[in-house]
Amino acid sequence: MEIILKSFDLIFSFDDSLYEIIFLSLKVSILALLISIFLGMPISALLAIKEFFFKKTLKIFFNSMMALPPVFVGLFLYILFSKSGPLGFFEILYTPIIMVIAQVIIILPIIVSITTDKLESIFNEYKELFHILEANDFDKILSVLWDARFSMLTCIVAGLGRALSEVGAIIIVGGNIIHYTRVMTTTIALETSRGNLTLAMSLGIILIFIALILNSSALILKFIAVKASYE
Amino acid sequence: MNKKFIINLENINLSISNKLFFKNLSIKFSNKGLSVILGPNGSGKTLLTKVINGMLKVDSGKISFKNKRIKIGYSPQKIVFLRRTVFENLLYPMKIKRYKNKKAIERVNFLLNEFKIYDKKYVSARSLSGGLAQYVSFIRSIIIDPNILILDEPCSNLDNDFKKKIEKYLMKEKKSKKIILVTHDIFQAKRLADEIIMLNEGKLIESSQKESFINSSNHLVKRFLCNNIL
Repeated sequence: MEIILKSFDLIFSFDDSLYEIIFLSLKVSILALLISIFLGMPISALLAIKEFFFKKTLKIFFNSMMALPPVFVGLFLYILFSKSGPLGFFEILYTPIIMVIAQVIIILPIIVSITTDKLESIFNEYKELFHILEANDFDKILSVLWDARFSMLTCIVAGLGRALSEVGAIIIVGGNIIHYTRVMTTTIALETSRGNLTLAMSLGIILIFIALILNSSALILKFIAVKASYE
Repeated sequence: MNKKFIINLENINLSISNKLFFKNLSIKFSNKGLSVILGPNGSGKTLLTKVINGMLKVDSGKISFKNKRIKIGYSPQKIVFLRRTVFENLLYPMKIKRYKNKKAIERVNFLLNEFKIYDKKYVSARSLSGGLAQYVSFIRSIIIDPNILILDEPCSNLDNDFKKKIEKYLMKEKKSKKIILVTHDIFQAKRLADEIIMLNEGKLIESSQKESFINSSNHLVKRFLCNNIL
């Protein structure tokens, strides 16, 4: 109980180093989420709308990638981008850039898999309408993406939640460097091992608070959409 | 193709999931006027409309149109709306057909006024009642001013006011368009039709002008008329 009270004290003391960690976490995770949405939406739309040879294989691939262990992603990127690795010349190991890359690899399959199902069900519903109007693929993709916007909020929230709670990959590729690559989850891991439970708990509370805000906003928006019968 | 006919179906064979629906079906639709398709449930009326607008690919046979540049408007039995407002649903076909935005908005507003549902402009289309949804679906089918209009039971859930408005529109437009109307309502067929086509179990039973159809000696036509009038 004492730890929890001290944690709240720390949170409301607006300590610079604490909020630096929170902002870096949000920055890395939101950037990774935006990149994943940017890459994932067209992939999902194509998987939902087009028929092509490897479609099923690709869907199985993205579904399987959802279960990819983050530590393996971290290890894979470490080997790839370490000084002696094939992409070592980029010199991005232990920087926020590689943390974003790791998170994109982890979030992208989640975004693609969940949104593909949603887009597919909307597309099947609209198929006849598209046919009558002779809509081209671009029109179909835009229409389905736009009309699925409320349903996709939950996928986006799931993606961001996954990114924020990720620790295995970014601790390997980011190195948990203070004022540079230290984020909430890696700090929790480090401070817990050091016995500094107050800081670890403060960050844990903030993580839960962020998750609550995200999920509530998504639920409220979905509720509004259902009420307006856009769903 | 004979220039008297706008749509010509020759020896159409269609099977779905190994079940044969049309066997050597041939029907010609005259250039203008309103053709009513009648027939009992499961006779293939809806399938025929889907074959005409290309939604169903036939196994064999030929479907030809008089012109290559034909605009088809279609109001299906099972209505699907985008997850958008009535206004956006009506605007959508014009967007897809790349109409200029200003012209498209003007056309939608004009039809909303003409059909007296301007107050529903910003209502979500998916929340409309069955009758109103059917009415909006009808308006959507005429929004691009098609030269062939295919309507699959457009008035089955409508109240008299809406039904009259649609019928008034059809009576006016059949002079310049080809209209194909699927209906169960014999009285509506009598009011609107120039020619009547009757199907039964995927076969063409009769295709003739309205007067000839009503006086037909075909026993299936007679039975159908008796069953639906009485």
